[in-house]
Amino acid sequence: MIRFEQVTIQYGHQCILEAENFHLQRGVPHVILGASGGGKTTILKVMLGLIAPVAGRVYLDGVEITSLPERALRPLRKKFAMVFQGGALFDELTVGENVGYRLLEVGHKTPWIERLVREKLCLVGLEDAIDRYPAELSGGMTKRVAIARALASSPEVILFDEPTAGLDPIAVYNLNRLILALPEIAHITPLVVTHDVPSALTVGQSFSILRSGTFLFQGSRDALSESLDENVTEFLHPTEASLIDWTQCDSRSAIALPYAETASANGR
Amino acid sequence: MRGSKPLPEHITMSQGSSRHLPRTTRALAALGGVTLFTFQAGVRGFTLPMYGREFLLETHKIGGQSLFLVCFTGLFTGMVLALQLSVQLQVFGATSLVAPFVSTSVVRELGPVLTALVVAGRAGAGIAAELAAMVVSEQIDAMRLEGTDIIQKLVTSRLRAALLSLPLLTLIADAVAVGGGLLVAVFSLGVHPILYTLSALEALTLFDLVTGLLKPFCFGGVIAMIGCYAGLHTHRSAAGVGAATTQTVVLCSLLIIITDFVLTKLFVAVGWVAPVR
Repeated sequence: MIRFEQVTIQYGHQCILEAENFHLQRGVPHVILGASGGGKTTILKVMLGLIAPVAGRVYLDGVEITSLPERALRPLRKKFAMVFQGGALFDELTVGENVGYRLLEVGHKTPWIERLVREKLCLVGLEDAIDRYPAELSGGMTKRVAIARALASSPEVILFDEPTAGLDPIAVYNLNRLILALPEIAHITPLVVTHDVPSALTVGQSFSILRSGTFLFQGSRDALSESLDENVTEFLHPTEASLIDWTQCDSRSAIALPYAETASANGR
Repeated sequence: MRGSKPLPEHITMSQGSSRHLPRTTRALAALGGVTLFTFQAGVRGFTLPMYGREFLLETHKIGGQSLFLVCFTGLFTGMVLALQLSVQLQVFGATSLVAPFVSTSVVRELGPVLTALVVAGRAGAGIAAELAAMVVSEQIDAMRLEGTDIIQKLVTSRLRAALLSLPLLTLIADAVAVGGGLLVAVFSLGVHPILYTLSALEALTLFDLVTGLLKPFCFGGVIAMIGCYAGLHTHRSAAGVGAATTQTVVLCSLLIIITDFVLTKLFVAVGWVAPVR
């Protein structure tokens, strides 16, 4: 479905992603794990042709998209949808119009579209919010509407950018259940990028670990659990060695000091 | 993101940083970018879908919401112009010439330029801020993924709205400014209102009206294209949104004045500018 080879992304003179090879197989939920600032969102945008690499090739459904113009990319992207980290809902449209956006762009509002929109909103538990505007929603609700929008376009693959960030535990649990069920109930392959290890292990069948713009690991769940690579185990199970030593900072931050010590230093 | 390889056609500047390039290179790149952008938006003006809802909404934002400011500016411009002229013309006992001078100055120059400057400050900045905010919140990326032609939906609809709104606003501003001049002429100089109106209208030629409407049409294009370009090519940060709006107002103001000079020179060359009668 999605494949790339030797992709390099630069920002100015700084190389922010240098990924060798990647392959998303149809029907296999894949998770890209990585720390913040590791190039995870950039990778998703590269996959869908939103950002062009300076080197390497990206294939979308077998077609090389690296040098395709925008109008040639549009039909290829129909099989894909993306849930952006911040939701990226359209401010001037209601929740219902946001969810049915792709369908409303090609035709007029019909009872069928309205039924479909309600159905997708019901899946994320927001049927009552259909007439509200994005500005009236909380962060978690925004994300759920974005998921409903992605589902409404009946894609074959949905790319999730940090889907659990900012959600409460119950919403995370429900979202993970939904992502897990996607291949079976809707024949949708989820591709999730996240730094949330428990959620990643819940929804993923195959995994990639990204660090500083390069893949440290790619493989199945079993291969991940059996990996002896220090960097991989360090990411999955952080130890004392990976913690920041606050005492080494020049300005001894109050965060690093026990409360009593800070209080006595302040003369309290 | 932008790197050593040339930026492909479909990649917007918003995804790349040009800050590492020399200033001259950046300016030239922006000039080329705006030219290409204008061409693309112009071509899409003749293709479907028309995005009628966006067009009406933008016409309201650019035209409707600027109307009060434009009228206010026009009224005081007309009054100030009449006051200044009355002082100068009284020396020669030619206060009857206030009306023709006010009407020709306003219709040929002041109306189009001041209206465009006001709209650039209000609507142009608004266009840039709105689009830049959409870039920062990834709405533009989301639209592209949903299969929307960004230029057709966001740029061409704004271009159409500006091309329609500016000439209409200018017509209104011209009328209000001449009316402002009438107030001063009647109450300060004791000129009869009908005499003022007749001499104001008599002084105008068809060319004055044509050039007075062609200018705002061009200014509308400048405001829409600069606003859209700056907005869609912003850096992904809050500071980027601010920079886009500032750039829009500054560039629009400069380009409006330069375009005005070029157009006036052209109209003079083809003989469309006649002496005031």
